[in-house]
Amino acid sequence: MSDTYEPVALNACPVIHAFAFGSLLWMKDTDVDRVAFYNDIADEVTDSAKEDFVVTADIGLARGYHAIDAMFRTFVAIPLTWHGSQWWLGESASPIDSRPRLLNEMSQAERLAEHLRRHGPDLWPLANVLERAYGASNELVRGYPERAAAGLSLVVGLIAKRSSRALLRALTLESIDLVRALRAIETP
Amino acid sequence: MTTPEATIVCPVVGTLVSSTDVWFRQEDTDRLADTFGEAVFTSKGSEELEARRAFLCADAAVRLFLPLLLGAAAIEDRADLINTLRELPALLCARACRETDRVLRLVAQAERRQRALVVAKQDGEQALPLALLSVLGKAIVCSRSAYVVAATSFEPADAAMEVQHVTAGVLWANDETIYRPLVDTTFGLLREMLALSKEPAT
Repeated sequence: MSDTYEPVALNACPVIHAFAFGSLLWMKDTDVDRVAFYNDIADEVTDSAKEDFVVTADIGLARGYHAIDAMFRTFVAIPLTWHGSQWWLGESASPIDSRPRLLNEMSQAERLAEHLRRHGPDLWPLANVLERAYGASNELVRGYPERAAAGLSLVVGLIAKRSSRALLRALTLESIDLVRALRAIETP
Repeated sequence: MTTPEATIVCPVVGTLVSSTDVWFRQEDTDRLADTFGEAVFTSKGSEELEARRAFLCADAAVRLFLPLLLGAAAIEDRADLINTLRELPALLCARACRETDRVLRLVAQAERRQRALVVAKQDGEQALPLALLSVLGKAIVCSRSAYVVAATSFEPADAAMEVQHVTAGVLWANDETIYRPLVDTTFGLLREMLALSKEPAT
């Protein structure tokens, strides 16, 4: 690639953008709240058009950890609660803010996914969610927070696909909160 | 996760199929499994094959999905832009992507000016125009990611991820009437990707 390559027409924090666009895949059915969600993204895009807009690697990584923390403790917790897997949620009570903590959480997710796989097809959708959560986390371990955020959006999408309308709204509101929290992270 | 499937699924194919799990309706998810099931799970090949599949993603994002988006938006006549995109040369090599990228940036500049006018006219209803512009940016990133896979931290699967983002933008613009063309286009892209030989191109 030429080193004179110009930026794309619009830029934004790659972590927020990846989560936002992936989320639009499943938000199409929640007519009102998704507008609020996109307005937040529009604000991010507007801010990123300013000359002093910078997302450093440290900020990107901090946002990645925050997103993955929300994935395990907020989003993945929803279907796990349906299944009654409280034993794991209890261990997830403290924030996932470091590599050792994340690796531990991934190990838990892997074990639970394998456990669910052995119980037959009815639990495979939940195993899929956990395996995707593992995959998203693994991207963060490898140093790619934007890929982790994109993976998170697929995790939430899988949960949303099997959710009631009320829960869809809840997932949308949680997503709005997450984007606002990510935007608020300016220093790790 | 170390599963038997994970080691034999091409990451580009796997990324594209993963996103369909989210937005396909169940009957289309089932049809995809019936049509491609075994081929998806044994799709892994060489790095060169992954790069070729990434170029297919870039080509689809720019010449197929993006025109769908512009057509679905229906804010104003975009026939010229749609035709410009569809008549671009296929983005199946680095040179084509690089040349096309310049065209896309010109299109983006034109779109940006248009969007500013639309936003000015529709105070308080800016979400859709900004979404359009953002998706256009995603298509540009997709074309770029395909031709920089060997030179930067981009991986071929990133191109498929950008296709997912462009698809999301199209769904955003118009949920219902655009769904079937989107599904058909995704099936076509996957069919092309799986049809590529696992042997290096000559």
